Amino acid sequence: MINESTLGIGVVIFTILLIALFWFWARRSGRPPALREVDAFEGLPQKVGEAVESGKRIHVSLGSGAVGGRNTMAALAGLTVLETIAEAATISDKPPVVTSGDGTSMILAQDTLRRVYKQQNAEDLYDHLAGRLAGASVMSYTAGVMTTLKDENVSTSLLIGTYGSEVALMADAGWGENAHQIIGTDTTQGQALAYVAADHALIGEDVFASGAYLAGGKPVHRASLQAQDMLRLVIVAAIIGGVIANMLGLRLP
Amino acid sequence: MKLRLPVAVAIIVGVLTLALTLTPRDNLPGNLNDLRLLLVEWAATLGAVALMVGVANLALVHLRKVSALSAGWVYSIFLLLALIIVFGLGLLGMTNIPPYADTAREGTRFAFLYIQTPVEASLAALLLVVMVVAGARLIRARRNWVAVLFIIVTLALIAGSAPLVGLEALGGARDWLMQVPAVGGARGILLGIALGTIATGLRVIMGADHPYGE
Repeated sequence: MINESTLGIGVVIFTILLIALFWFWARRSGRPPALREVDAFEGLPQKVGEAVESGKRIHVSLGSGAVGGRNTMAALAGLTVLETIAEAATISDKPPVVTSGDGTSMILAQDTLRRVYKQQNAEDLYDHLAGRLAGASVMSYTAGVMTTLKDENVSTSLLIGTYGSEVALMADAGWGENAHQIIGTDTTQGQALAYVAADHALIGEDVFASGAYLAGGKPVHRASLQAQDMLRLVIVAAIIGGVIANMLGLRLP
Repeated sequence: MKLRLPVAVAIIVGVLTLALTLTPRDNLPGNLNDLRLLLVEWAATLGAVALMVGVANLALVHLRKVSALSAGWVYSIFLLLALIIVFGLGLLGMTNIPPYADTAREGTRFAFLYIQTPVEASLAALLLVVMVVAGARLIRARRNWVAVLFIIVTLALIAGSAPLVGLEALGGARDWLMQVPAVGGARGILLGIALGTIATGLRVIMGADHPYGE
């Protein structure tokens, strides 16, 4: 019987190999791989452009998960979106406003914004209060985001991180401000409500795919997405194989 | 160039923590297990410090709103007052000055139990209304077969949960929907999320993604 530890190490090594393989493959062929369409990302650059032209703000929220906790990756996915959005929005009079439900992700959000402004040679325009803690508990964070959406003249709101059912309240506040909303979360409950309440919901692993789609997509993000898709096929094959083996009365080692 | 040291530290700590987490505890020498725990403790300490920084940031954001008389500045005054009072009570409660320390501790307990908890509970109670409104909005916003299916399934689940005489079969349909397609779909989504989590984490550990530094 394969123990959990061996399986874990195997999955990690296999995933690293797949990412490296797709990365080198893309570099060697010199052309980016075709990705499946994700509606949420298709119209986003246009919405960012519209926000910049109309002098309105883009709001990015990183959820209530802490970096260092079990929801770290969802917050990092939000930071990837922030980096891409901020690059396009730094020329605006109103820079993006970023809310977070945890101190660690707030600090990383500020650092991301500062880095982008520096890269654009616009460091003097950087406002360290553009990245802010909206609240330290889930509901106070929710209330903080709702207030930000109302007070900051937001035209596009991206909620990418860890959200539960409270995401419906934030989406309702965004709807009240007529904001275009994209929600991506790593909880099934949050995803179900996001589908109902937002203009676009990122379902399943799509919440982690933003880096591959936005701003042309970094090669490593595209390779990572291809590795994810490949791993999903392996899991599907393993499930089907397991069901057939079970039906035939075969026992797996 | 400046980024090399932070990236190197992140990669070493990431690989070490991952390896120590995946290795069965029984196979780890005591000092390595202690190292794993130490790294986790450091992360927790940093999280606590970050929270303090976050609270200071929150206070600064609202101070700016008040000084600029921005939209909603009146509420910001209440927030700042509440922050100062509760923080002061918390500090006083940590001292051993009788009878003020006991009164301060009671005051903090009162603020959490009788102000924050009920306010948060009322906001959570609004969820039901918001969900119903969002459901109605969905029909207008998305006129596709997925939205129609979503509404039909939701209505079937609600009807299946209601004690309707003569429609007991709906209860069976509800159970089937909850136990077969819903669980299957949720597991599929969770598998996808797990794969995304693994890939994102490995990108950071490989140093290909670094949400820090220059």
